[in-house]
Amino acid sequence: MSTRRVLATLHQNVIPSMSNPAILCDFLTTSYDIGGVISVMALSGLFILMTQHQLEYPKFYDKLYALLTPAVFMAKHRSVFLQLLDACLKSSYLQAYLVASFAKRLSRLTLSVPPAGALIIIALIHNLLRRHPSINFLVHWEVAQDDGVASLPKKIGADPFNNEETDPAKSGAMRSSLWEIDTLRHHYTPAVSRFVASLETDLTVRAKTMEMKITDFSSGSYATVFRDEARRRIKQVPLAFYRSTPTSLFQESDFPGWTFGCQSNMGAQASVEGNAVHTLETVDASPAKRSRV
Amino acid sequence: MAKTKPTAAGAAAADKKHNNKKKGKGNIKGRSGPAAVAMKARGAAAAGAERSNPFEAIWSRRKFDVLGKKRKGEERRTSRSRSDAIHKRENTLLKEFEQSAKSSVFHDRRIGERDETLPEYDKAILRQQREHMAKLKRASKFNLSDEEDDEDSHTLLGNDDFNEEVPIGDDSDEEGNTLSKKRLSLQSSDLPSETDLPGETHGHKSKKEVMSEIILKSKFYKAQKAKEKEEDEHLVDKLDSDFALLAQTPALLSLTESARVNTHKNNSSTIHKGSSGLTGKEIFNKEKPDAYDKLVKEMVMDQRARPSDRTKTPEELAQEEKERLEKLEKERHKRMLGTAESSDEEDDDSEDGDHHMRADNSKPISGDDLGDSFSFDEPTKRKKGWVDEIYENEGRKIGEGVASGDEGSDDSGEDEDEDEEDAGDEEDSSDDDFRNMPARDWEQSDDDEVAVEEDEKDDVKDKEQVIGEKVMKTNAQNLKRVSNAKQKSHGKDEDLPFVIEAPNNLQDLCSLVDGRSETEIAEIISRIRTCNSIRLTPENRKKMQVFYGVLLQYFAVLATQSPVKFKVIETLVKPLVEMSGETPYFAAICARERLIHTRARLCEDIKVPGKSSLPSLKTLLLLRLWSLIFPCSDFRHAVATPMLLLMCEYLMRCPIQSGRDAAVGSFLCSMVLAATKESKKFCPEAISFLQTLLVTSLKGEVSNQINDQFMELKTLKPWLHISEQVHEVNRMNILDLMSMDPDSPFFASDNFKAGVLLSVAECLRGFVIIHEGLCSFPEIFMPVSSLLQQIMEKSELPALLQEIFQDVIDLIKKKSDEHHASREPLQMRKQKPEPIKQLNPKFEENYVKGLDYDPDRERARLKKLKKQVKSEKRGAMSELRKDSYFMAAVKEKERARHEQERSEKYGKAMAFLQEQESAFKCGQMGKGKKRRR
Repeated sequence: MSTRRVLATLHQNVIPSMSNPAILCDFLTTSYDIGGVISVMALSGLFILMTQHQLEYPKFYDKLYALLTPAVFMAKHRSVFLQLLDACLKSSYLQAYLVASFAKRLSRLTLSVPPAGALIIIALIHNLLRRHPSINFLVHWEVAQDDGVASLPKKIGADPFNNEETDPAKSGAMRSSLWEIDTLRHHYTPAVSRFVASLETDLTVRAKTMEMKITDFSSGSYATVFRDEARRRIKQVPLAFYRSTPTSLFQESDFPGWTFGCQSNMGAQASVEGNAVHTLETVDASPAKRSRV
Repeated sequence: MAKTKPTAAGAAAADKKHNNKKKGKGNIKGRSGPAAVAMKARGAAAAGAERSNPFEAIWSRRKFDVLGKKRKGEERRTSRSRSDAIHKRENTLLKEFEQSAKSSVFHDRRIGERDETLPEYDKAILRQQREHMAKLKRASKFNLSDEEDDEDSHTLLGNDDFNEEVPIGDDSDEEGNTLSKKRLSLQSSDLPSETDLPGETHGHKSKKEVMSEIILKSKFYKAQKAKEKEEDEHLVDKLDSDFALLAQTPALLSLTESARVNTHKNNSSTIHKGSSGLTGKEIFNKEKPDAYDKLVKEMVMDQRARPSDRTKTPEELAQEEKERLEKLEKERHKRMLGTAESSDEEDDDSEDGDHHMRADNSKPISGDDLGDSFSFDEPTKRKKGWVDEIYENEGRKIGEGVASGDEGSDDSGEDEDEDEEDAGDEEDSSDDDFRNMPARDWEQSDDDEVAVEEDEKDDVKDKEQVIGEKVMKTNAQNLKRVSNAKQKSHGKDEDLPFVIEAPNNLQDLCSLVDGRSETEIAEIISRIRTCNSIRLTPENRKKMQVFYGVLLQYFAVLATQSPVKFKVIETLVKPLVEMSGETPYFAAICARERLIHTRARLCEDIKVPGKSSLPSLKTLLLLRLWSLIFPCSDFRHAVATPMLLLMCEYLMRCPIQSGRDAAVGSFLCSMVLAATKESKKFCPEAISFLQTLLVTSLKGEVSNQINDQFMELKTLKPWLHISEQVHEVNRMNILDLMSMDPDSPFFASDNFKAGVLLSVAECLRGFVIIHEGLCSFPEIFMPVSSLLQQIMEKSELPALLQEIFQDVIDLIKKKSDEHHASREPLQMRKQKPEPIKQLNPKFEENYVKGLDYDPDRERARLKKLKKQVKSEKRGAMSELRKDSYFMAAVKEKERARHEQERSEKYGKAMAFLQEQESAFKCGQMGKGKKRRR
């Protein structure tokens, strides 16, 4: 716990006022090796040391690769981490296999992260694709045009990418494709499914495209996505159409595995529970009135 | 190269150039002087502002306007621009050149000298003003009178005006003249129009004349009127005679009889056809009339559309419905008060009578119930069968609802509703003692006896109509009476009021529905809706919106009560759905606000450790209600999208802290499934939640699961681990679960766990079916499948569960195999189809020479820029060249001047020397010369 507290303020308050921040190197590297949230937090300090104080860190990208888990997109300090992630992958001299592994791993994460996380991942992948034209095959497999034999794209079948592999060099991302991104087209959040279209433009043409600012997305959360949707101006309200208006809330055919009988024989337990619920009710009443205005 | 000498007249109209010239005056004065003098006369005659160089006045002008012809450099006056350029150089380059050899500069800081636009005369005025001010300051010390000065300035100003007006030929002055002339003419034209003309007309006609004219006119009108009247009478007479003739024809006879025929409406048309055919034949046999006559006769025979046959507008239907209820209410009231308050009744009657009278006098029946008014006025005077039919029609409509096309679905729904309720009421009364007998009688009479009663009760009908109106006016009064009545008679056996005002708050509604059965509540709501239908008056919209909010609130309150009256809640669903259809915007706003509020509470709850933050039953039911009301399959919906987001947030963020949480979460997953079923949207949260639930059913080896990333967010105790063999699996009842305490032992029982696992498996199956089309289907569901496999191996599941699990696993395997077989690498980039290279020459229609037709915009732009650079460069070069020419000319001039001076000096010196020499030669040493001179 104390480590976390130290790490949270280290890069902002401590390092700038130190004469030789390189002595923090040991502390930061050990905490970076711990894994999980602490690694995420240590990254910001480590990044300063690496960029401004010539720290050499072997296997930095391997560790960074291992940090990419769904938990990152729920953690408190995700905003800074995601910005740093984008900064770390900024160099266009990184090897293609490394970047491809990162892109593929990120896209795999979209299958389990909240909508805000999916937005960030799309932005990150967009930037990666733009910086590294060599990995654009991930979203667009060039079809050989010359002969009729090779006109059909090569069928891959099972995804050669191995998410469990810790070494990005062996992950097999160079033979894969970002199907997860295509899956996001069917995401329930309109913002996400719309945003996928940004990857459709040809990012190898650098003159016509712009890098996305990660700061625009990194602070996203359920709150921001929900607010954007709920504050949207109501232009029209379509209503569900029924041939005959439903008379019951739950059709059992819609809810396999559940029944909705009226409880009659629930005895004492229900009445005990009832008191607690009654107190809640008074709380509920006032906002409902407000909502009517 | 004209340099006009600034004169007084010239100064008044002088422009910048003049001033410029003046500055360079010293240099070229000698040369420009005569020219200026020469130009003076011409300048006075021509435009004052115009340059006075005669060569500049001549410039190329086109003689004919050639349509569409575009010529370059037409507007350029070469000579003028040349002189302009020279002036510019004189002002800039020359100045610099002159100053280049000097170490000091002369700044003219006199008043007005800096401003070059100021004419000389204005400068003088400024100077004088300054002087005057200084004087005033000094004078104020001694307070001397300054009349003289004032006069001076005045005279000066006068002079100024005078001076300006001296050159009459000047353009500006001409303009001034015309302006003043215009002003004059305006005044002169205005004045007579306002004052003179009317005076003239009045002057011409005397009062007497006017009066006589008026009299004449009125006489004329009277005569005309009389004439028209006469003509009208004539026409009427003619018509009468015609009608008498026509009345004897069979056509009219049939028309008058048509009403009687109408009573047998069903077969009437066929009869008519037959009869018309017959008559047609007969006539044809007898007289062979022409086609037109036949047509006319047939048309006369044809059944006309009756006013009563008109399909009623929804507004009218609503009105009728309301009136019916009001009538019923009145009756009920009478019966309720009974014989004890007969006086009241009489009062009412007398009042009604009054109203009746008034109604008869003024006929205040509104325009939209044409059918009614017709039926009320006509039938008493006319035959009776007709009336019956109309009433029958109406009765049928009220009873059955109109199946004809133009009503909305909810209208027919309402009517069906009504029917059902009626039926329900009858059932109630038959098997229960909720209702007393008279009410039941009445219900029947409404449906069956209307037609019979109407036969005899025309008057009563009339009265009822009036009552309806009255009740509409004094609704509030009525309501008071209703509430009074209710207070008088408590208990369940009291019957419902027919006219119910929409309640304004929850208390009102509760007092209205407390202790009622579900059918009664449904009846109450439907009556409120009919009485306050939006279609009746626009004011009702507001009322109904308030009522909608109240009803929603009641819905929510019901869900928090215990035991939950689920049936009552169910009865509210239909009216709520229908009412949302009437006020969709309001419904959306209500739902949104509640969603926002619910989310705020979720955020608060999550912060409290140990508190279950998963939704309460109320929230669940509301969420379900909204997913029924609003279409969840829309890409983006004002309510459905935030609602789905909220549900998924619950699933993602809420920790599972008890078996109850697990069950609620699982139920929420099935709700998400139901919401996304149609649009097949992908909800990662729901699937990962189900995955988490599966993990919780594994004991021990949770850590090496795929889901270990969620360890920090969700406490994964083996909530669903089945320890002993369970033989039967029951489906869970969510309502029971919700009402149970989280700590209750039921949640630890294997029965419960099996039930939740069943729901999880069923839900998973649903998601698998929905998402079979997704590109990364194997990646999503393979971990789930392996998890299921693991559970099957490690824990003892009941047979049914095992079967379902195996089913799901097989399904996943089948679908992923399909995907593996058919999946191709992505090709997301939109490719433009490359056009085949065309070899035929391109032609431009309407080709304009000089325009760039390059299809590559970039290249065209570059070309344009290059061209621009080139032309700019050329321009700069020529400018520089001209500069150097100019400087060379200046230097040459200077040099010539020096040369001249030098030669003059030389000449003088030579002359002196020669003179001396000659004098020396002559022998006189200069004295002689002097002497000679």
